[in-house]
Amino acid sequence: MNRQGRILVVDDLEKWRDEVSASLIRAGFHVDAVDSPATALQRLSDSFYHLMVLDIRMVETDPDNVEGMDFLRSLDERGEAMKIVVLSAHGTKGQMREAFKDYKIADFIQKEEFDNHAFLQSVREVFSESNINLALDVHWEGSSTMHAVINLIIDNERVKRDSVLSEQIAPELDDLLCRLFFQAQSLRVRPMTPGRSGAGVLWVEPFNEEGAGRRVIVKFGDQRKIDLEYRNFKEYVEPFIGGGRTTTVLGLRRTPRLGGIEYSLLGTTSEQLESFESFYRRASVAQISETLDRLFFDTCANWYASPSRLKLHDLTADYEELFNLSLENLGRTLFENLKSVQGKRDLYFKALGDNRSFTNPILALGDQHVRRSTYVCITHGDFNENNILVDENGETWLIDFLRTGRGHILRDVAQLDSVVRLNLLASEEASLDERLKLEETLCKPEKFDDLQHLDVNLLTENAALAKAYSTVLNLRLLAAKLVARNPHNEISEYYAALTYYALNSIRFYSTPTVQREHALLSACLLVDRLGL
Amino acid sequence: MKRLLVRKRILIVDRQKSWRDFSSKNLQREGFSVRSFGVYDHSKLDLYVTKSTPDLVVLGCSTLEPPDQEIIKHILRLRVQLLVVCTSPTWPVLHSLFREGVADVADKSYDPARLLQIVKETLESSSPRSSYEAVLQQGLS
Repeated sequence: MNRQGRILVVDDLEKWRDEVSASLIRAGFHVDAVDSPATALQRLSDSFYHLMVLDIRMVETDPDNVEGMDFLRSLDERGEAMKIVVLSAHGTKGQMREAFKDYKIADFIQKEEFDNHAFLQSVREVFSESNINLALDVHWEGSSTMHAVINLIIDNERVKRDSVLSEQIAPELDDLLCRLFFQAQSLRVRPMTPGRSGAGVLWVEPFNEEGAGRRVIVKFGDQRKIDLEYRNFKEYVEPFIGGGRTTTVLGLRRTPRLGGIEYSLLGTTSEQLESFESFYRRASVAQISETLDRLFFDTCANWYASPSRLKLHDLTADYEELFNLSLENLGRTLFENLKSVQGKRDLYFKALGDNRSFTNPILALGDQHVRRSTYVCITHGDFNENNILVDENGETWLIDFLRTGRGHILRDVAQLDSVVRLNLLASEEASLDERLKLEETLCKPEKFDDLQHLDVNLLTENAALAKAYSTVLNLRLLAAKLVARNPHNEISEYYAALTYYALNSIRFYSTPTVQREHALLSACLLVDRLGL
Repeated sequence: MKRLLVRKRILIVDRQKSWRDFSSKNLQREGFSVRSFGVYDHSKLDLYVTKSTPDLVVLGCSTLEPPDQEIIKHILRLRVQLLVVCTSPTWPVLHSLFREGVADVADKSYDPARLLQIVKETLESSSPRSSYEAVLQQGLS
């Protein structure tokens, strides 16, 4: 496949615009040409370019090139995504120095000494130095770039099917692969199930002259979020996550709006990795328990093993910040989207059949801050069913470090606990009555030590419910171990964490009603347990 | 967490002893950690850059003759930021230096304030503004 290098020519003089464009087109590039910075910005918001050829003297009445230099400044944040070659009549040495030094332009060419051959050579050098393989063959398995960008969140806007944004972002994803895998000849690409963070995940097998290369995982999304994820990786993951299951970064590139990280999962005995969700569905409770044990006490052991000193921690602030959660907003929209729940201070669930009332957790929490004596340490911050990868031996690898950082020591285990109960127990697998029974049983312990007295199995004929119960009980026993050195033995810090995860789950309106009702019901019982 | 204040490391390479001494003394006085070489010795440079990873190499040249150009190419291959100080470079020389990838080019001066300003500006403008730039500049460790 041979893509064209994409170039935007910006010059107010028609003669130069036409001449430069014609020369570049003859050399095989795709060229668009505009006559002003304003039109150029419009083009840049509609499309992407590898290179801009910019005349910095936009108008004859601007002898000091002020407008051109200002425009150059405004393009600065595009960084490596779009290179710039400046064309200038009457440019000074000072302007050339400023343009190279401060705006990292690729070249500065004087119009007075313009030589078409030298100009084209400079443009070709820029493409060559940019490490973009425009001839890369990308073979999508069961998908396409257009499909892979659906549901990404770019500049706070979700990419919807058949939208203008999807038409703009899909070619950028293709270009991102050409940058990340510039040394490969072809790729086999398969999308993996994305999380809810608005980013995408790809499984990629590169091929070069010598044959198939190492299979890798590519995380891609809004370039600012990918930048943050990489910084979190360098600060919190690389120095701590070790042993045989090391996630390493092989590449980091960007286009104007997309960023991408190439992760290699070192130490995997099998390259057939599956998501935790898929593993959970096929594995036995004993296998799941063993894998979770390794996840918390082997793969991530260094995070939880070096917590802060015991201190009074504001759990409300911690979780509200983690989720960007506002109880006020949640309360306002909750009942518009959950018609099956009625009441205000006391809630009634139609699906439960009886007339039992439950405490409204949002009103119960109000503006109170739940504070508990506990530990803070590095946490992954987003242990969902798609961010944990499992191999055929039950070993785990982590991806997605956007939320990685310091926080409540029980964040990760509480999230997986919530994921198992509220997401992995599928809507058709249990009624709300059955879910209530699960929650009531799990909410009985008043202290971590009481978990030992809970029945290992839930008395039910519902296999999915029983599996969820046993897995969650194992997770709570793991939580107890993580805070075993805390002399207070208080399980309420864990219940508080679960409350915020439950409330956050209600916000995902695409989740089936019974699962959102379950989340709300869980929060109702938990606030009672917390005595709020 | 409180971060330790790390002194920026600067390597000065110049055959002219008087400028080497002047710049070392003034930059050290401003808190930089400075080392200087008087000869264009590739292996010595390689060893120092690998061991000490300077934040900036300041290369003083007067003529920008072929030996100077060769050492410039060599330093840039070591992936360190390079400030060239020379006497009134012409447009083609300036253009070629920037195209090679030097961080900045400045006039050689014995004004301590000017020297400090140029060094600080170069360190600031050459520090990566995003992870993407950092990876491009330094590669993945």
